[in-house]
Amino acid sequence: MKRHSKCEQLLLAVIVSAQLVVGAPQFVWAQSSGDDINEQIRRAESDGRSDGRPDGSREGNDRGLDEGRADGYHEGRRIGFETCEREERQRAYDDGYREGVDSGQSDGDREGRRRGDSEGRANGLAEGESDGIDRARTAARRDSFEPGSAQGRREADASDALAAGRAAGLHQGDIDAAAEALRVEYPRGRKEYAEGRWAERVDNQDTMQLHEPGTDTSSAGNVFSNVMRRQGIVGNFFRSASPDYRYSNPRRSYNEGRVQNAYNSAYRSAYQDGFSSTYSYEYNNGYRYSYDNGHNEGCYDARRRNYSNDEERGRREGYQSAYDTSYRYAYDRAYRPAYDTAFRDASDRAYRSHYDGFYTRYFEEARAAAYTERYNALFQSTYRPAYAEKYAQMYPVYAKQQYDRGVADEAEDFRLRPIRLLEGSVVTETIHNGLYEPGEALRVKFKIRNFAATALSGSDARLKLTSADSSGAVISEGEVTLPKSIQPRSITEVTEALEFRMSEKDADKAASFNFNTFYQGRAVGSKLLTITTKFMTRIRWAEDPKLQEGMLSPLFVMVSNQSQVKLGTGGTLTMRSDPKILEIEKETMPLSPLSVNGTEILQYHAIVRSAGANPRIPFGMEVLTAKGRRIGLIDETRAVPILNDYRVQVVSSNAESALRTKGLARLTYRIRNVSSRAFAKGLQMKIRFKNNPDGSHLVIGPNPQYLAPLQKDQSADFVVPISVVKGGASGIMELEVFEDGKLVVIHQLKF
Amino acid sequence: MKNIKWLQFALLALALGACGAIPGAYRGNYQGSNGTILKLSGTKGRLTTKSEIINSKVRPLAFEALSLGEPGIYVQPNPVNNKLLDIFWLRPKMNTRQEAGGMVWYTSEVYYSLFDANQKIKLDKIQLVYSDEGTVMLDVPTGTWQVGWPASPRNVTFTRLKK
Repeated sequence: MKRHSKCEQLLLAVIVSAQLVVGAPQFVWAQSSGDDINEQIRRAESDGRSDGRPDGSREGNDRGLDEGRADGYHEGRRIGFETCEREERQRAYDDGYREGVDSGQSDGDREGRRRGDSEGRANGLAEGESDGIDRARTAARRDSFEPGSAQGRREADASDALAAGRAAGLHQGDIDAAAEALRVEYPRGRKEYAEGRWAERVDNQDTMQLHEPGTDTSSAGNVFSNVMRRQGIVGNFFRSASPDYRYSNPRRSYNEGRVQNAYNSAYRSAYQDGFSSTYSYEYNNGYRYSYDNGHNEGCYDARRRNYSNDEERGRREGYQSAYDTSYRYAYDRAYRPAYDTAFRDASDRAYRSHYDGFYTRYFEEARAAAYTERYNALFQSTYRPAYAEKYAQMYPVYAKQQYDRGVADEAEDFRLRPIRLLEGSVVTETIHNGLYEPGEALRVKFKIRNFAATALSGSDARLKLTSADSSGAVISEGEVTLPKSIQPRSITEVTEALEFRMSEKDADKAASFNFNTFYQGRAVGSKLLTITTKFMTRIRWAEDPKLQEGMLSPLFVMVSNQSQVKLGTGGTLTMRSDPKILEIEKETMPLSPLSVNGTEILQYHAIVRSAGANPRIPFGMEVLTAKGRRIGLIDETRAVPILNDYRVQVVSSNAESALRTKGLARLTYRIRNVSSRAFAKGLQMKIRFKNNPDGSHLVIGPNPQYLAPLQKDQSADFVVPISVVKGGASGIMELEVFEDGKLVVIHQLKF
Repeated sequence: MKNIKWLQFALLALALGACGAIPGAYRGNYQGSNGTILKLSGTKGRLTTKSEIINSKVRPLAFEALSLGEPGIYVQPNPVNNKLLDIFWLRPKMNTRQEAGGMVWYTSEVYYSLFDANQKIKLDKIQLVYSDEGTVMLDVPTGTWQVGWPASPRNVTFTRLKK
């Protein structure tokens, strides 16, 4: 450890000595050298500024004055021209305007006076005459009213109004008494008599049943039928300019790169400053000097122009303005006196010439009106008392006569029609489930009353039922007489009378019937019977049907019990269609027992064989009970959407016959993409034959064939050659279309 | 005879121009997800696989060329949308050629895609469907043709190579 310390001490001494001898002077040199460079840079920058600024000023001096003069002259000339032109135009206009005013005033005054006098006179004449006529009419009506009215009243007083009024009153009183008695008393007599009869005691109650009560019967019918502003230069002549360095001369050179750069940079900056300050000053001086010259020249130029158009415009406008003012003033002054004079004279003339005529006319009007008024008053003064006197005198007489006649007529009616149909006639079922079903035998229940004191023959009482609308009802027993005698003073309830059936086309519709009763050919009561026909079950689509060509698609049908009784076991739902269009996998499905209001959804599977987008497909569905009675039916044809992404059709016209003829059959198919695709996919088409056990048909060439992807609405035709080995053979040829392996269409061709 | 050949050549050139060949936005160099390198220019294409380099010219799709089994990049405007071009790169295997019932068919390698003729911006990626078992089928009596392939072809994504 001590040996090391000595060694270290020795080494340290050597280093320190070396520093004292060599190292220290080197460090001082480096420091001294850095200061020198910075100083050199500072000096170079100062020199650059000293050299650059006068050079830049020289360029500014050269360019500023010239460019300022040019700009100032052009702008001054423009402004000068515009200002003076505006002044000259206004002066010309004013001169013209003054001239126009002078002539306009004179012409307007003259013309205004002339026309005012003329029109005043004409208007005064016309309006004066009208005024005179109006005054004559008013005065004549006023003057004639009283004398005319007095004469009318006198004439009425001298007339036969009093006697005529009395005679008319007596006559009308007699007529009205008779009519009122007929209107009131006759029906009262009949009504009170009938009430007496209806209030009589019923001695017998009886019933008649015309048929045995109904039992379940099958309905008949066939299911499957059918969207700069101009920049003002005023006060600011500065124009932004940049030096083009035409006098740039950075003339000093330095060995050290950094120093040279500092000089160059300072020179360029100073050049720019020198240019800018000198340029602005000189530009401003040049601009001001030349602006005034330009302004004077522009103005001089403007003043030499011809402004006769403005002078003419002023003249025209001054003339029109003065003319209008003078005309209106002169017109008004001339019009009024002329009008007044003419009006007054014309009015007086008209008054005089029309007064007498009006007087005569209004006198007669007043006379006639007063006569009528007075005559009516006198007439009524005697009419009313005479009317009341006669009515009171005769009404009791007529009343008794009419009442007695009413009683007698009603008694005779009861004699002739001793039986009457009572309220409460109804249609009754033979299948008692609360519904009038198609095909069900329906009958009528009603009551009749016999008012006679003796028994009446049933054969004299006839019942009749007729259809009151265009329903498809079949009335199997529409007319019948009662089978037995009707007991005296009795009420008889008749049941199971007559018989009719509603058809299947009447399901869910209302139908009306007239039910009439007769006794010895005379009507004794009628009733309008209305019923609504319903099947026991309701069949509807649980989902709107959608199909895929060649593909098995589900169809959902809902059956509900809408009767008042439970639907028993053994019921079935059968769906049928045109097998050429729709193949239903299993047509008849068992139905579960359905409680009242119970519902069941059944799923069918079917394959559509059609090339159209929305083919119209006939559907027939019926619900049968275990005994075979039809209790539900749908028979409709509806457009069903076909949801395949591709449509296939055979375009060869004779495909079927070619497939039955021995030899080569070339069938051309057309396939069309009817659905959009995010990713186009290739197609594979495979042909196969059904019912071809003996190999009568062989596909020639590749099977499957392939097609590149089709875009939406794109179609492609392709040919399938078939070798028909055995002529006359029938069968089914199926084309299966796959889209990258997924089956999308099966097209079937039967031959 | 010489004039007829010149006329055919002129018609072919006109047809190529009408098809517009390979649209500009699709031209360039690509690397496929299967390792192949694809180079498309306006009138030519080159496909470089591990084992071979396939050069093909762009030509309009025509019955005659297909019937001769000429390999190539066949282009035709799509029948329902002329802004789209159906592109078929075919390498027929003429040893598989057969004919019967008026039909001629053979197996071919097929690259297929649908190009947008109005595409302006260069695409970073293009996708092609590839099948080694495609079929070219020609109906001689009607002069019609069809190209397709079996189900489940390979989808190859080509990514544009940066310079």
